[in-house]
Amino acid sequence: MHSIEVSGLKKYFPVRKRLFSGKAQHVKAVDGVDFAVERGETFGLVGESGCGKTTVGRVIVRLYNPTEGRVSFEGTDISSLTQRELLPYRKRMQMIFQDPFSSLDSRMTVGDIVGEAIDIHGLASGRERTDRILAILDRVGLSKWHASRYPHEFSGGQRQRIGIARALVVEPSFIVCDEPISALDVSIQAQIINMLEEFQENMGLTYLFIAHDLSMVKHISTRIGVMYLGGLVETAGSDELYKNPLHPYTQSLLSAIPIPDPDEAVRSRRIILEGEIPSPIDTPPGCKFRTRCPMAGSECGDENPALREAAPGHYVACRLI
Amino acid sequence: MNGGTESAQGAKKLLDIQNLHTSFFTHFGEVKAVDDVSLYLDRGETLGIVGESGSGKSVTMLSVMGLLSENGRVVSGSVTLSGRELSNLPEREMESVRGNEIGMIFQDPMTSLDPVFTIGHQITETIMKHKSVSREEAKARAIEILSSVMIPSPSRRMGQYPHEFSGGMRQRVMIAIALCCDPDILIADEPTTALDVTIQAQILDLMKDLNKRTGTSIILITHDLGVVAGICDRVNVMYAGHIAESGTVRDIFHMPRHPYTWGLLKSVPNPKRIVKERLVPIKGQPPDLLKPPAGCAFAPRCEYAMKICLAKRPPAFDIAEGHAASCYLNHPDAPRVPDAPVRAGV
Amino acid sequence: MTPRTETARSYESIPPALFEPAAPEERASDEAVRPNVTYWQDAWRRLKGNTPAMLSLVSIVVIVACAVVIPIIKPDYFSNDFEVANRWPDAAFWFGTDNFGRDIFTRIWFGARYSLIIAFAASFLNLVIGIIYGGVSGFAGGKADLVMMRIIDVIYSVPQTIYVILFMVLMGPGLHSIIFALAVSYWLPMARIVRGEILQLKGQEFILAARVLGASNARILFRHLIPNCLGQIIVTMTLSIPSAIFTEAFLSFIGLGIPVPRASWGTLASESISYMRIAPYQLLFPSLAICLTILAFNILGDGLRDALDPKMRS
Repeated sequence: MHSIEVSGLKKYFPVRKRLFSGKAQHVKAVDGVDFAVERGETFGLVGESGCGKTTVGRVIVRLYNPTEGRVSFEGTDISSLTQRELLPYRKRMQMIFQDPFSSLDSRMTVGDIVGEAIDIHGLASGRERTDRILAILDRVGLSKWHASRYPHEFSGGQRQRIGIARALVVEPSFIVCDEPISALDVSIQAQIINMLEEFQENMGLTYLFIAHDLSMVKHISTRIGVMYLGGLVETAGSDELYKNPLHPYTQSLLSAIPIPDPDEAVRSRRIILEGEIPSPIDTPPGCKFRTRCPMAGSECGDENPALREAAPGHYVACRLI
Repeated sequence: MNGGTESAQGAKKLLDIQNLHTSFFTHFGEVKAVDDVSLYLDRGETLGIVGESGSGKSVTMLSVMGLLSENGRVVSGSVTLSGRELSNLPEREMESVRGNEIGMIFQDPMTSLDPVFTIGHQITETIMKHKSVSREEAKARAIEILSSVMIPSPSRRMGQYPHEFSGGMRQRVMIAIALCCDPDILIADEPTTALDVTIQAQILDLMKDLNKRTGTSIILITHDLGVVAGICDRVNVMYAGHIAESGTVRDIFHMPRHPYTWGLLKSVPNPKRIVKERLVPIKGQPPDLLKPPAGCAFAPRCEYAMKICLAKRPPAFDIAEGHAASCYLNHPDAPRVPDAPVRAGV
Repeated sequence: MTPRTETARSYESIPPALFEPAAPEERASDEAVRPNVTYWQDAWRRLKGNTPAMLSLVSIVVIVACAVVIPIIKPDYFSNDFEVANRWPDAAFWFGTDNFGRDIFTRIWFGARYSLIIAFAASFLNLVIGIIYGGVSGFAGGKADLVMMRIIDVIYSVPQTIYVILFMVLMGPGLHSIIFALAVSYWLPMARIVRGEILQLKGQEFILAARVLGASNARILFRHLIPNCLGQIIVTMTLSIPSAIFTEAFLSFIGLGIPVPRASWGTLASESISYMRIAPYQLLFPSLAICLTILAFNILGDGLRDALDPKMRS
């Protein structure tokens, strides 16, 4: 069964109108995205900054309202619920944030940060509340005397653990992990990744793992979706995607990963993309990637290709394949 | 690509740092950010300094450049550039060293450029400050340097402001400014951390190319082992203000001899590996430099820690020519470690 | 592991016992050992290091204490005694007497009560109005914010003193009307500052996290946003006190202040103007009191700004 199913999702942000240009412009942050995440799996969403991956995550947990399209969570369409109607779902879908410094309220103790969800949902009070907070802190590897301390007394890795405890205390079934390790040191990243994997096994969690670090995404994900300029260009199982990338963008993205081995780094063939990502305000007609695509032909300008199945379970949006 | 092998000859060393100690004096006490660091850079080579935040990798280079913040001070040690001592140079002469002899670029290309001046203005000003040339000559040189960092249509770009450039283009401009007076050394402090992977690949290629084409020596400060593997000749691994291990890039990746280096190598997934297995993280947190451990700084997190490690700070043990590791496991009488990885990702 | 390369260097010999593995309990705790200081403790530490600000704080405490205590010891501020009129300062009358023979020292501390009550009350009301208005404007954002800020711009376009005079003329002189007039005219800076802070905090991840947890708007505003701008609010309030004291003194000086025989510092200064030639001390002491208090609050406000600014934190 699907944990999350996203279909035809669009999110446009209005940009301030130019004084004399007349019509209002929109940043097309997410421009038609479809995917589904099975229960218990980790779906990795990768792409460069500005590709809309974070916006997808935020629309799913309804931090933003979608412009178009629907998001269903365990079979219920949640894209048009009011914030009040959404409240019971907030216990079941949570989010882990990127920045371990700005994601914790610096004026609250760790106990209160973790306990806030318990208070909001009225899950427990008094002794029971304290016990629940201490239990979850223990699970993320913090001690009970940490509960009375403030976030600035902790290192980045410990703060990220606090953020994970805050998300887990309501016992959700689905978590959006929005670049949870990109601000951490290398030796700490592996600690957090292992912890997330452990919780997934023990609690049957489903993850949407958003990142730009492809090697970590490959490691943690069951399936991966590659985004470029607001749209998915390829989805496949993570091994399949790495062994057999079809879309030229995926190929160049994979070849750009620095390899931690001097000999392989010399041997590997890098596809270095020319230029930069075009502005998402006036996207080029046709395939959005064709301005940087090393293989682009004249037919690519006609229409934006849709995802189609190139091999079992392997979808790609490119006319040349 | 020949650096490091004949490092014993002092004359070859372009930059030589000996026993550098740099501390920050805070309300809570002295923070020994750099604690007895010695390293060198040969002419024409690319040196990587790898470490996590707080390892002292950036502070070491800021000490060299004389760019420490107000509460930071070089306590002792010597820094020589082509045989000239830098550590007691007056500020005025240091200014000419920065730019003329050492150029530096930082992580964030957004804040390193002045938003109210055009790119062309910022580059020509830098050239004219360090070289006695006319404005026309400086302009010609600026266009030349912009095209050498692969910025398309440089003469048009000269008249544009920083906000008209993307992140990757700004980092190219920063490199152009750092290189406009032909410095011997380019220090790049996490130059690609703020950039996307495909842009990072472009910038690293550019740096590699500049090193080959102009012979500029590069010191690359980074936390990313992958970046180091692809571009550097030699690597210094830093931890908690010390050099943990130093050697050629192959020494570090194929024959690492310090448990911290092992830990770093084991904690990054190798995308080439198909079989999924758990990562092996380094346990615990880096030490608080206000109260560093008495012995080896890494000992509290080290699975091989011995009694001696907690009591005494290890000296640098020579493993081979140009390869040294500060770990007692390398003492001739130390027990052998059976399960130490000898190759990255294996 | 690859065989060890023999090198020429010899190393100090180490007894084999020291090569035993270290017991886990021997390893130092890898716990982060940052001292447990809260934001307020840290701010207080920085403030203590700022000598002028601390001197100002001490002076303010002394002034407030005197304003409370001295009128209790010497309650007579109103009886006329023409025997001792216009006495220069001496052992009996430390600050001299006025033309009705009233002790200026006593009257100054009675005046301090009025001036300080007005200043604190008006600033507190500014705070309440400013936080609510600025909080709602910044939090709501969009069109509501735009409209609310244009309203502020319109109010700002007329000098604040004119509003105060207008209210005083409408309501008549008196303690309540002064406080009310100051409160309704001086909340603009507070509202702008609170709005700016909230606008900037609103997009931070800890607010997003609270939303994902299902926190209501009220909870986000009062539990997260306002506590996080408290530092800025305190600074703004401290700096608004001197302007309230000054405006009150000015109103009393032009005769719109506290009615006689009660007197604020402004009234005292205003009364003594006519005797400036023969008894300059009558003007000197109230003016000094106004100046010192305003100065102390300004220096303290600056000190608080440095102490509470998160960017100054190390």
